[in-house]
Amino acid sequence: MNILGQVFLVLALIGSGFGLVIGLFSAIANRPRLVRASVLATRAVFFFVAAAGMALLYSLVTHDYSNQYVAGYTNNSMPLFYLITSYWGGEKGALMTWVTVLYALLYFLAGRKARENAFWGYTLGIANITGLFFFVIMLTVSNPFEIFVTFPGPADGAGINPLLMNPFMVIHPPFQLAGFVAYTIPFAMAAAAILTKERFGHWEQFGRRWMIFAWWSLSMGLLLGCLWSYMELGWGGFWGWDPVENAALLPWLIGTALLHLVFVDRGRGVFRRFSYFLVFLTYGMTIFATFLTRSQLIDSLHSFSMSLMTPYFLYFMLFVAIFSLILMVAGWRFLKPRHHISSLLSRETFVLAGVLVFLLLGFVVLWGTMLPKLTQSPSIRGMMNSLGSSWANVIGKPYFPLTSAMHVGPKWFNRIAAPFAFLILILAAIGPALRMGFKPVKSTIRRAAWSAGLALVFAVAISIATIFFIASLSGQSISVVFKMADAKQFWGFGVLIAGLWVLNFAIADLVITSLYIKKNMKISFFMAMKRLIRGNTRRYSAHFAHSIIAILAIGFFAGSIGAARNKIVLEPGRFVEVANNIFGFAGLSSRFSASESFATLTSHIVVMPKNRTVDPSTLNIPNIKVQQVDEGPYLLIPDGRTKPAIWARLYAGSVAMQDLKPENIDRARHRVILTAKDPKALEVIPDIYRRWVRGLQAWAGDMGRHELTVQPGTTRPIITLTFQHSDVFNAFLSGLKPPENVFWVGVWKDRDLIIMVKGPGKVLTPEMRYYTFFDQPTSEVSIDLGLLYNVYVASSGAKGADLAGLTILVTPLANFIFLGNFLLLLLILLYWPHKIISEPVHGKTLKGEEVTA
Amino acid sequence: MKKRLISIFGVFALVIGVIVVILSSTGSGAYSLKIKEVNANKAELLGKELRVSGKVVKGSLRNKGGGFDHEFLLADDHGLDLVCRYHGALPDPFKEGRNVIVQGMLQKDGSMQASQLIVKCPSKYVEKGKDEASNGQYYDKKYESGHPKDK
Amino acid sequence: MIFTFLYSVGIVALGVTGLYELMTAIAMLVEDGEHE
Repeated sequence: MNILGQVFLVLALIGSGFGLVIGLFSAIANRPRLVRASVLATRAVFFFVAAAGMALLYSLVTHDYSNQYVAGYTNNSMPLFYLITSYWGGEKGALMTWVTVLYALLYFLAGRKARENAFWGYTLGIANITGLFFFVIMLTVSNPFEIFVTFPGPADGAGINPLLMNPFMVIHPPFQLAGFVAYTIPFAMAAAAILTKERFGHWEQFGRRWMIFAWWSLSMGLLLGCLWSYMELGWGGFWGWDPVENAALLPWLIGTALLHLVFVDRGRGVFRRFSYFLVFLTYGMTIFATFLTRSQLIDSLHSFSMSLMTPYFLYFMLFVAIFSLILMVAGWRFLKPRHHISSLLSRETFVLAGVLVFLLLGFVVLWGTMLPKLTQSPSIRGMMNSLGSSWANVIGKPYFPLTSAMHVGPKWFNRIAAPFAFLILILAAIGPALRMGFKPVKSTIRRAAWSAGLALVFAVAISIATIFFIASLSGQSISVVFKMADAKQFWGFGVLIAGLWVLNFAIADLVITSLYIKKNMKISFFMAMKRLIRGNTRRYSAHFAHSIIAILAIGFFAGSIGAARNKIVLEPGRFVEVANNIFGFAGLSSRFSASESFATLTSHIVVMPKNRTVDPSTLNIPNIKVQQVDEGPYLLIPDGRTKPAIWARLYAGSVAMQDLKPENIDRARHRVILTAKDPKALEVIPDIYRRWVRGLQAWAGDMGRHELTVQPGTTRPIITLTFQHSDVFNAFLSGLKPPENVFWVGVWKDRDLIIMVKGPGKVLTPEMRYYTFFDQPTSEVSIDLGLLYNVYVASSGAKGADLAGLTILVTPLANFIFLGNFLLLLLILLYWPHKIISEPVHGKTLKGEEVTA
Repeated sequence: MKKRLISIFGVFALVIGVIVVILSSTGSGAYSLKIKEVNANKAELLGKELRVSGKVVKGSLRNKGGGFDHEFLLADDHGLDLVCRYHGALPDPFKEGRNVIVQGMLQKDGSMQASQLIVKCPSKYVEKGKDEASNGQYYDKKYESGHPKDK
Repeated sequence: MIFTFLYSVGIVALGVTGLYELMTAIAMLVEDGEHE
């Protein structure tokens, strides 16, 4: 199978080479009929790639460890689903995925759209350059079908970090890669347009569908990555400004700028040179992103293997840069704009401003990401030092000169990104309301001003309400929760207002204009609104799209206000208060999952709002008095220590006993022999036996020797409990049956018993997972999703000790990211049918020939 | 005419923007320093974010009270050392004798309060007879505890 | 077993189709060369 795959890759290389050469030749030598040959060659490559891909899948699914890639990224215990998705798991798989998607797209493009003319000859030829590049890499330094030479391969593969075996993580790379790949097509088309100097079939209108798709796919990929980070990584954040994340953000930023220019241009040619430049830049960024992600040029949390691809990528990027530069120069006159911006207060100007902001933001990301590498050069350091010290002199602060590399982290990025987000939202709110090209009419200005004003009032009101809400959440005064002097809070608030303004403006624009139409045309409000939307689809779809971005921005930035976090180590029974909630730790339990091959240490955290108390009647045990406690998920049993039977019964049902089961009951001697409920868990985490023993010995100590003795096993992990009195013994046994809702029992002030119950709260169960095939434990977060905020706990437990290291977070407005992602998914449905299965666009070449595209 | 004005203004704005960005980045990042440099400039570096790499001195790892407060000595090739403190669960590949990058802030007493520990773990598989670089297949695992945002 | 067989057939079919297309492309090139 590996050999077969290898063969197909070689054939693909040959095919793409052919496609490239024939395509270019047909255009240069003016042999339009040969474009068909290039089409065929390109389609052939698709078949070869598909065949190779199937061969790779086969090796993955059948655990063929003679294949180095399979051995490096899968293992025997991996479920089928993740075996399949390992296709794009490692570097070689990512390359395969690149060409798979590229040629799937090209198959569609070449087969259905390509016509016999120079434009398509060039397009297919140039598109095949990218394919060829990837095939060369795969056949030289990074071959997915490379087999072990000196030995037949290991018996089991290395597997992947279990954090990556998660649905979000798994669909994130295809979306991301598809986004990168799809920009190849507009690139090829733009190059072809310049080379043929034909305003042929308004390719921009056609190519823009690819840009929409690419942008959408890239956005989805990025957002899915954010959601994965939140759900799985245990730090409660969405974006870490990690070099790999930033690498993928770069094409998105430039791509967004490109998309806007193209949308607002509408084929009139107002921004031609700029658009073409951005097409080339976006494509270059996708190659750069692919390179940066995989080459480990910069240290990153996403770690990949040492890559030999680096020199190839560097040369290719250089080639792309030079090629693009030559094209821009050659096409400069051809790309002369035919229309100009006529008014400053037009949509075009605002879009242009937005484009500049995005480009600058792109520079920010690029600069911050490359800084560690750049500052390795003494000349760059020298420049930074002179700039830094002069500026420091101006503002009167000390400056320490750089002597070696410097890394900027999330602090700097967040500080800079927030004002950008604010500015973008402001532009995005106003932009769609303005007219294209011309200065707005007075009545329009008046109406727009009303919309803007009303929207602003609402936005500010809601923002203030939100701050109050968040403050009440954490039980602190406003001034503590939100300090204007703190830059992060200040900008978070700013983004909140700006984002809400976008949303409200969109609604106001719709409602107020509809009212105006209703009045003037004397039709119903609903009819007016329908008419308005139908007549101005672009405007309202822009409002909608911008609203999604506003929702996301609010989730990203405003969530920093009032977010509370606490990192603490707790013993069982203890609690901590975070953001007006009480978090009580009830203890650890363990179990083994056979289907996913891990043993887990689960922390049981009982969460309750601070101002609630537990109703004593929820505990249903006859003959005992139960008292309320001031705060927390606790109940008190006065003089409980004098009632060992009750104590034993409660203890038997608590978390402390969850791992153990009675193997042998000796009623005559009041003796119980306990073993592990889940022996496999014990195998993976042998330390937990010590924890059980210590816990039980502590309990025995509290109860008093005359009540209970604990005897650890010497040969097998068994523990023998011997009770002195039959009633205590029987109570214990009865408690081992289904739980009383008591999570933990402890001694209070020497005589009383205090118990932790669920009460009106929730139980969160963060885990530490020990996978059998992975030598580091991974943390599984437990999230309580609420409407406006989430409660989030991650644990880092110590195996042998009965402690939990908890990271507790309250993340306001985090769900906006989920909502935004979902809406973005729908957005493509709004734009996609809009002439995507297109009627051919007719046009005339400069020579006057009728052609279609 | 308007077009030209707009273009000039746009370029001007971009240039200013770039300068502002670069300016703001000077001195805002974590400086990679050697222990020697840290020790020599304790006063100026107080409160700055630093990255120091070195080896964890064998026998120096102390854990206060069995919890999550750790302290260890970081040493460089010249025998200089630096006291480092870390609050949190130690990354699994963190072991005495291993190379570690400590990112954190310099404290008044000259010790480093680490916010992040970056440990490189030796790779899992190497084919017999081939060295790691030419193998190209297997991965180094880097495990960072805490996260850059942990401050 | 039958699945493996069908799967292999699928791969081969893809490969053959690809070869066919490539051959046709080359043939077109040759033909074009002759006509010049």
